[in-house]
Amino acid sequence: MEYKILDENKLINVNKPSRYMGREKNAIVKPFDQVEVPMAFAFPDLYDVGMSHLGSKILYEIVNNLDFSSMERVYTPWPDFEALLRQEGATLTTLETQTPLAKFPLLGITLQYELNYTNILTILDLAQIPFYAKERTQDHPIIIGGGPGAFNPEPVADFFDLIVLGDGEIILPKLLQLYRDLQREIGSRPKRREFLLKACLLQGVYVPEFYQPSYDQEGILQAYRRTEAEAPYPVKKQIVADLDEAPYPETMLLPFGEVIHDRAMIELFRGCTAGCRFCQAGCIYRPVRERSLELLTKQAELLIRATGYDEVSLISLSSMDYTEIESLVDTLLNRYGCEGVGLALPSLRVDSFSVDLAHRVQEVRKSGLTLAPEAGSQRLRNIINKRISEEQIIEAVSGAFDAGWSSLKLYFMIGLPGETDEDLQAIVDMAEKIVSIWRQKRRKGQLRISISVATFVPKPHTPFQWFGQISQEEVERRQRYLRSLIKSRQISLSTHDAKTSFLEAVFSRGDRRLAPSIISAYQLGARFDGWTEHFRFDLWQQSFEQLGIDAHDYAHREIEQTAVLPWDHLDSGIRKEWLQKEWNLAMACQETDDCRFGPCSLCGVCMDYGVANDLKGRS
Amino acid sequence: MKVRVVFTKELQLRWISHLDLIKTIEKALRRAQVPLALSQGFNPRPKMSIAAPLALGLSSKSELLDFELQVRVDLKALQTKINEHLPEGLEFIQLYEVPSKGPSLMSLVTVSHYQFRFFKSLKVLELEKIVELINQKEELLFEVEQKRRTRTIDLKPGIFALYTTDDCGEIFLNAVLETSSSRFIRPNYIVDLINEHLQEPLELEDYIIQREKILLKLK
Repeated sequence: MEYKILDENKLINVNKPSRYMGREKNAIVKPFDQVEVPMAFAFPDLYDVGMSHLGSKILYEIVNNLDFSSMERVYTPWPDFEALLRQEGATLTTLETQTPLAKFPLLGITLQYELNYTNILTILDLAQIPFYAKERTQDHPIIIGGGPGAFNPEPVADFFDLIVLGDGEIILPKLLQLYRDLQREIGSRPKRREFLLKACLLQGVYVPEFYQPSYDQEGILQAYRRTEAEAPYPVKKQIVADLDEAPYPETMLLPFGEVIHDRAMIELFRGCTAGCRFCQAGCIYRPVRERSLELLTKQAELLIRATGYDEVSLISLSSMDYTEIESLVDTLLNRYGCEGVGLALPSLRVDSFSVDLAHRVQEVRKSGLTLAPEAGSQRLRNIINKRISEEQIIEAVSGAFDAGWSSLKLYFMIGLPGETDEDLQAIVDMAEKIVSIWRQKRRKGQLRISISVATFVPKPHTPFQWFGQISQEEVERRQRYLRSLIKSRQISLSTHDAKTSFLEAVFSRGDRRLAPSIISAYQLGARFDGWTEHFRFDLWQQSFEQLGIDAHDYAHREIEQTAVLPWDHLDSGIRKEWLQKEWNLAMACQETDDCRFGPCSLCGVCMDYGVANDLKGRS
Repeated sequence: MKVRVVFTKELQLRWISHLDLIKTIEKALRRAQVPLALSQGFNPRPKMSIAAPLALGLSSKSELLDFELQVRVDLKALQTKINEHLPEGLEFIQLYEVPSKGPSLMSLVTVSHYQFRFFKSLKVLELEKIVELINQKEELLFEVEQKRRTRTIDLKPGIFALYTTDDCGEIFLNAVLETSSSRFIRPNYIVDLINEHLQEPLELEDYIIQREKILLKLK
């Protein structure tokens, strides 16, 4: 098939053409025709978001380091660029070599967020690739999914040929090698089915078409039936046991324009065992695997020199829990502070230790302080297992005021299991208490407390997966109620759009029957659903209605613990019994220890996968 | 030590904005470990300034940039080192020292010479005739949008020269335009002037404008 490539001069008509031109510093360009197994990699969001994502940058370098393969990038075109491509009848190409996506033997698409699903379709549509795997031919790319969304990919499973579960830096090179070997054997592109049959034997590979769901007359999921005897059940995830042994980027793709997170990033550790019961990342990435201090300082040096960034972000799910966080921060500050290179500490813990450390980091650069108590009352914090006390919060805030901060951002959630109006009152009480601490201290300047309230979305593979989201009306009532409680003018409240959170819940707990609704919403014009300025809830309503899909049921239903779940065949490493036990403890308002510092709570991942928490600083 | 640089912004680099250009150069200077002097305050920034912003889509043969260094260095060696770190399309072609206490670079800019290249086949005679028409006018009233208001200005005093050249049969339009802070004539205004005389107006994608030179006041 012939594909039309867009004339570069037309880029003058779109906003920020550099999003579509490639050739950034540290981009790796290998001639498409000279690579045995070229792979395209799509990030289904705007370039500015995709270029801020560490995981893709890691994979980019790993794959490009393979001599027989290459990775070329593509992002979802913003509507202005989409319109231009359509008007010109041009196909979507990769940034590196301007090769039409449809020509690649393999196309990876990362699943980061449920509200990116229509963006996947935009990419396939503009690349002239059929949506459904079963509609694609031997000449189309094999489409590979991955990322956190791989642990419940069912709403989009029919669009993918295979999906990888777990740490991509191990499984992706293996898949590419398998493809190369088969290709060498027969001297041409391997037959798709042959490749999938071999691939599904690799740990971490899920081939959706080999697992067919069945439903009873009432539409209740009964089971997943395997269509191939070799296909494993359940599909296990892939784990990097020792992060020091895993490949990591020595350079980093550098955007021309400023993107969302425009800084060098080093990953301190993967996984988190803090055990917050709403948190999916805390379940699917277990166990905790730290990088050594020595390796991290080396990586920081390499990245600062290769990129010229003046800020290094210390990435992980809870960076303050890194065993040698103080030594790391001190080392980096001593070494690079004089060059004007600062540090960013995302995910601060709510305690005075974290605030002190953040203060030390601020010596180079000043910014606001963000803390996430998540719930206002002690009772609710026990339910969600956010193991911090009111005292710790007060201590942290006091410390922040003493260190000179006057602007605080506090993150909370509403709609959590067991939440009552008293818990909402407790959020505002806490904020008011912070105002009174400020007054006692008689500090100069204007205090600003921004309360940001998200709506709880039940996530698969968490102890709260069975719990239904509260209705949109109830979300809005609780938001109004919260607002009515605020008395001090120093406190401001921002809330998340209830409809957005609803749609997230639908797709988070969705199954394969939702696929047609994504296509029809896309066809009606849904794009960039995670972006407020583009989100059109009416299109989704229309789509669900046309297809007779009860979206409310997916989001709001309280699922029975005995029910078969659309992600039961995908193993995150966490045993279902543990999730049930955690749910029961939550209902009893009881906490569970972090197994890094306390006893093992038997979630199962270490036993079933032969791995363990790897705390480099302790050994 | 204050250094003035003549640099190019060509090829794909024409697709980046002025702000992104500054960021791109800043990062390249850091990669080259240039001992940049930083500003004071909470958010220290390298002391750097660019003569006259170039709009997105334009390329340039010679842009001007000043930056300050903490120490004295050999400029030849510095140039080689920096060029190793600049992306394709961006090149430092000349570096020289200027007095640290001198006037700001921006205040020195007077005019810029631009060359227009057309992708759409324009009849040579037609373009020459239009240029002649424009040149004969005493006054060139033009509506510009400034701060969300439309204002009529006279372009004539800001147009120092407008002429065509021929290179192996390909026709180029040349314009020398005032680019000082008091009067900044954007080169695309000239295209709008030409379009007034064309039956089929030029679209944005039908031409490329390249800045050939920026002229500075002597004192």
